Amino acid sequence: MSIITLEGISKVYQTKEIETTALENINLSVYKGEFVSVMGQSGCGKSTLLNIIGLLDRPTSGTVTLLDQNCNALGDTALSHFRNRNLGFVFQSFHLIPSLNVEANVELPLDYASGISGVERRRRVDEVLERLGLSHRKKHMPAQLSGGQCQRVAIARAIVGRPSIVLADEPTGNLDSRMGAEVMDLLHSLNKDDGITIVMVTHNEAQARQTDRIIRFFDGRIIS
Amino acid sequence: MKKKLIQIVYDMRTQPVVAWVTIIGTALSIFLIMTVMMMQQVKIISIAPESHRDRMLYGMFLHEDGISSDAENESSAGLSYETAKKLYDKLDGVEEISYVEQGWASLDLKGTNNKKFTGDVLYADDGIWRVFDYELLDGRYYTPEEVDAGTKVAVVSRSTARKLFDSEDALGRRFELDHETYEVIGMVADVSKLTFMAYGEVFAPLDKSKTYGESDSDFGPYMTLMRVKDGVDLEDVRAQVKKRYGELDAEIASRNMKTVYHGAPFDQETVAGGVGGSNITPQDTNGLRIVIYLILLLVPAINLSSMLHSRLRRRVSELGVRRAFGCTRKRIMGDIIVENLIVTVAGGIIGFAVGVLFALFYDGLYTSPDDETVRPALSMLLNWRILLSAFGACFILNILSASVPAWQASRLNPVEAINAK
Ligand SMILES: Nc1ncnc2c1ncn2[C@@H]1O[C@H](COP(=O)(O)OP(=O)(O)OP(=O)(O)O)[C@@H](O)[C@H]1O
Ligand SMILES: [Mg+2]
Repeated sequence: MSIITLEGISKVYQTKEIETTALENINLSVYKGEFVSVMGQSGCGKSTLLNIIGLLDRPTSGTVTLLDQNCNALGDTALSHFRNRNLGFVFQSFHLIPSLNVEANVELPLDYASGISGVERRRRVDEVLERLGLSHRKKHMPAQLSGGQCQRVAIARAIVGRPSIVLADEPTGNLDSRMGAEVMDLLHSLNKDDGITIVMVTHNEAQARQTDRIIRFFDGRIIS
Repeated sequence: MKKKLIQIVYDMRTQPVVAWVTIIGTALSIFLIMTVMMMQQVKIISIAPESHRDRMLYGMFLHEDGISSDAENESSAGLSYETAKKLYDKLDGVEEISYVEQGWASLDLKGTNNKKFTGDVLYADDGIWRVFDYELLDGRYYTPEEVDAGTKVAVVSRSTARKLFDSEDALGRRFELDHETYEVIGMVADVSKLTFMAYGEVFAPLDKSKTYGESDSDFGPYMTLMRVKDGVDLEDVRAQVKKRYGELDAEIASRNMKTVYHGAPFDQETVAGGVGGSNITPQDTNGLRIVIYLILLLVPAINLSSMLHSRLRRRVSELGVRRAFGCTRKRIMGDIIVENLIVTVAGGIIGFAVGVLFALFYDGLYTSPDDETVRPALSMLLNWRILLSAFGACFILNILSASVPAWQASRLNPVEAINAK
């Protein structure tokens, strides 16, 4: 069953002088429980694709369907709620909130969810931190963590709301190979054990080969 | 809430200059506004013994003019006792009334220690004791019979008793008021000049017979103080008075005169704005006052707005991440406004405290109707209406300064925001 469906997606960036076509007529289906990696040279539109799947950006044309919901039809507030319930994000440079400690960072998506009591939130945060081996770092500030730890916190934040889809844009791009491998193991376990569908952008051929499917990009188009 | 405080503390640590400028700027503007507002409010809010200023009406002046326009006999002044009665006696909805001589008189006093000094004397009938809530410390108030008989008895304030007799044990003692001997029958707590209608150091029975000019003149030194029943519309009382002006017109038409109505009787806000002398038409200064308050707020708001803008610029990427995880635009705006409100209120509390201290210890801000400086009591300044307007000012300052940056922040494109550095 397809959980992500892109039909005829194009994205054109219009700046004063030039018009950049970042995506051109993309058709793509990702199935429930799949772990897909996206590869291609720099500037070919991988991040743009992820942002559109993540409902952070709207395509110039084409339709995005996530979990059987036509997302083109949703307004900004509905999109926010949809992201909150169904999507998790992992970024290359972690993007933890510097003013909040680990616990509060992880809790962030729950702040925007409705109908979760304080006790339940605390419980979920503890559970996720425990699972990612971060319990003893709960009160640490992001600045006090290593890159690998930061990315684990970011992953904890991405899954605390129990999304069906996690989107990761070069999640190991800022990590050394050992930490990168750790993060990859984590993503695989989320995919296998929790059935979370993952779309990951990577430049690492070896990492990509461990995933169910590789989508190769060239100049805004899928070539395989 | 806790997270917002954490955010604020974090901001203060990472951008101390911006944060402190914000707080001090807020404090300064709240201080300014509170000073202006307190000076004005002290004349309006209920302060014992004027405990029901919102229900007070004052019948102060009469203005008469010749019926034919070329007549030169226009006059306006206070009321004779008879005129005051004609216009204000037994109005529906008025629960207490007192006839008094307008303004206190500074007269010579001499007590048992033979020291002479001037004291402020309020001549009033016995109604004064019911219209206002004086605090009777000793003895009793004078009675209607004593007023009618012109008995030389007086009620004095505590500090006046001390000045007269070097003691607070004043009951039954005699002193000279304007070269006549009076007996003290009661002692009340001191009254501030800021409660300028109730103020006096010595209270003595009213001599009702004074008039200006002829003995049957409509004019005299008197006015009425009226307390309206709770819930009665002041306009209803005013309408009755207006009718009585009509009746007075009919009476004086034979002398070729007519009255000119200026909206009598005045309410507290009107007399607080200053009426008297030739200015017997109350001026509506409310509109002007609101404009002044708004300007006082707008100027710092523009500065605070740019401060907030620069604090937010550091958080663009964070805002993008929040949006990604499901924060709505409204929530972004709301959170920023609430966060800013906390900062504004913190600054406001400082500003308010400084304003209160300033009012208490700096002479010259508060003046009585006779242009003497008066220091307000702390209890007057900590009135709920003043506190509420301080909070209101913080709130408006917050909305004025935060809404534009908050709106801009909520409109950021999430992708661009996340990747901003
Ligand atoms: N906001 C924007 N305005 C204009 N052009 C943009 C914008 N964002 C991306 N582009 C252009 O769109 C194209 C695709 O960008 P994208 O970020 O998707 O590439 P990418 O495949 O993620 O590259 P990398 O591997 O370097 O991250 C690039 O040519 C880029 O310059
Ligand atoms: Mg990219």
